[in-house]
Amino acid sequence: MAILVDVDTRVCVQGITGRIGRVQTGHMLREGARVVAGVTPGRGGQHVEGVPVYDSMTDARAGAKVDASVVFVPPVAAEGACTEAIEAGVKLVVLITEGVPVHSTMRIRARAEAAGARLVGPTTPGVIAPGRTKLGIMPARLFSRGPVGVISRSGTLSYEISGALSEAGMGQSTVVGIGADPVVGTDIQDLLGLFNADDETEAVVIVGEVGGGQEERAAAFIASEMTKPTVAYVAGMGAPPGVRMGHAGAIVSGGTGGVVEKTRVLESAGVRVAAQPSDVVRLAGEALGR
Amino acid sequence: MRLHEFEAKTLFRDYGIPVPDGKVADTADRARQIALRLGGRTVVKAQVLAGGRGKAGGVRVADSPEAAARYAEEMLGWEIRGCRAEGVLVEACLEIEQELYLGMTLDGATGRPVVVVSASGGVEIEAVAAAQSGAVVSAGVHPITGLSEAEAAGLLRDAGLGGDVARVVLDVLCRLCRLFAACEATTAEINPLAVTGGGGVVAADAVVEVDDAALFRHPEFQDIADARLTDARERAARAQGMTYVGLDGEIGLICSGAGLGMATMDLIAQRARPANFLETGGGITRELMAEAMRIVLGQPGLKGVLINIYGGINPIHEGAQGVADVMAEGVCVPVVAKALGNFQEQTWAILEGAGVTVVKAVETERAVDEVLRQVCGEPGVTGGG
Repeated sequence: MAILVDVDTRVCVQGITGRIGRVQTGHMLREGARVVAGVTPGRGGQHVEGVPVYDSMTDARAGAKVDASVVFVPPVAAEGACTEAIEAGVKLVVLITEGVPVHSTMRIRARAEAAGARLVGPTTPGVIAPGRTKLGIMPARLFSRGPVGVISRSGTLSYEISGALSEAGMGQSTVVGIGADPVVGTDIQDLLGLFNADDETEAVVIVGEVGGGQEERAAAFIASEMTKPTVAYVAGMGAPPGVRMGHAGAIVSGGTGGVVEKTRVLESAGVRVAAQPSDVVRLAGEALGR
Repeated sequence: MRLHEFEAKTLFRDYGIPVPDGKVADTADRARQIALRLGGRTVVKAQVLAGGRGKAGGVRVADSPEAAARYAEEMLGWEIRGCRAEGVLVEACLEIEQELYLGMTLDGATGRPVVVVSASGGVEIEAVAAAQSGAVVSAGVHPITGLSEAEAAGLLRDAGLGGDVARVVLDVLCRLCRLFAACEATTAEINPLAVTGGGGVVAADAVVEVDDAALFRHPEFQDIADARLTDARERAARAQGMTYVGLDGEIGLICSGAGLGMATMDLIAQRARPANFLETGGGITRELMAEAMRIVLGQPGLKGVLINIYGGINPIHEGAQGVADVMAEGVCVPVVAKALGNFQEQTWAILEGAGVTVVKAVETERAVDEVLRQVCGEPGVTGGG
């Protein structure tokens, strides 16, 4: 089994008629995703890649059963789109958009929590269960099915590390990009819990980066709860303090959030920490006893 | 984006949070005039965005307008930790009886704002929290309903504040919460909040950081944001939705994705020096990649360029055309690219046709090896991989 999604997950794409939404819907369908509806206000009645487009999430839910929504709308529209999905009863909202104001994210997350729904993102490549389904933008050719769960704060770095794992014959159960903002809907610790309980997953790879306290919280969880071997890589050793490194959450401040500290905390929790991305493959191999 | 103290205090005034009488000056003579108008002793404070200003001598008490002018003269143009003081804030000196701390920030763990209060202000709050358990209290704030007055009052009680002082502090705390939400701040801090002789409170210092991602709906910060972007390359990158950080090495970098960019930068830094960090974001076009190339190639002392991009949301075959456009203009340093994902074969053909060395392995280590081999003639081996 995969976590968060499976082959039966019925997907709605919000912003389906936009440039990105249109192209990515095609890619998702080719990876097996059951995209059953799309939403763009004012475009109801159209079709994109054979998928019916509705004016609102409420209309979409009336027309098709929807389990999850993938959101491709501009930052200014992100809060409205996610709120609409949550209010329509969607239980998994994957917010791909980058540059969402953090106060919007906090409100979306609060609404999701109140409704018993889960937000993944923003600034996420999404979720892929290789060979089964894809709710996101990752290039599927780099991924393959297997026993490694991957949790990444970085999108493209998750492609690189999954690609290297695939080449080495270590496929992935599920790869989840959690997003790179200071506040995200689902964090490393949440996913560790899910992978820990997932039969298909035998080892977990965490791709972290400078800034924030997620790796530290994950380490505490690993030390007390995690029964599966865990490997990590943390990017940003050379990040100058006080400078935001492209991701809103990637900033070393007041001597906290640096790679050295995160590495130390993870290692003391028993995590094998890679010094560079390609080391992840070797360490994951050791973790799997290969 | 962090605001200068004088900018944050203007915001405080707008939200009814008391601040000392004062004004910002960009010359010594203006500082003298402000001090003369204020009368009596004044405080002269260098306006820099770096912490540790006090320790570096950036806050001085002046007994006369002439002394204020002298301190201003010393401070203007100062560099403290790489930040230049373009102005000094001249304020009336406060008679302080007690120093408190009020602050708000984001809590990534709960996904909510958090408000922090202490009766021991005036020093680094982390130090207070470490030295004395219970001296710093905090509470989460609901992102939709906010902090109720009862919750705020309870927090002040927990911090050991009572009586008349608690009443005026409560008012300031509620105003700070309003400012934090309305301005979409990521940090708002008053340290110290000074309790003065008359039983009133005044924000002696002010730190406000607003969310860069929310600037599009805050025209009131537009001028400040424009003034902050003084670096021409940073400005050009930002105009295209890219992030550029200038470093002082010789290997230029163009990466799609911040995590990949940092990892690539770290790998280069093991054996050479990166000239920059450039992250394209998810909006690659032919024009954007051409602009990225021009920004990176404009750095003096450049010896080579490494492009490391993935085709997920990004149409890298279109981006490759932009790289080829710039290559056709004549580039005199080696350019190495690793480009994988959707449309990788088309991308490779375009890049190779333009004279770019394409590395087809998945590991970034191999691309770093190749660019360093071409630049320094080093054998292509990155340890550990």
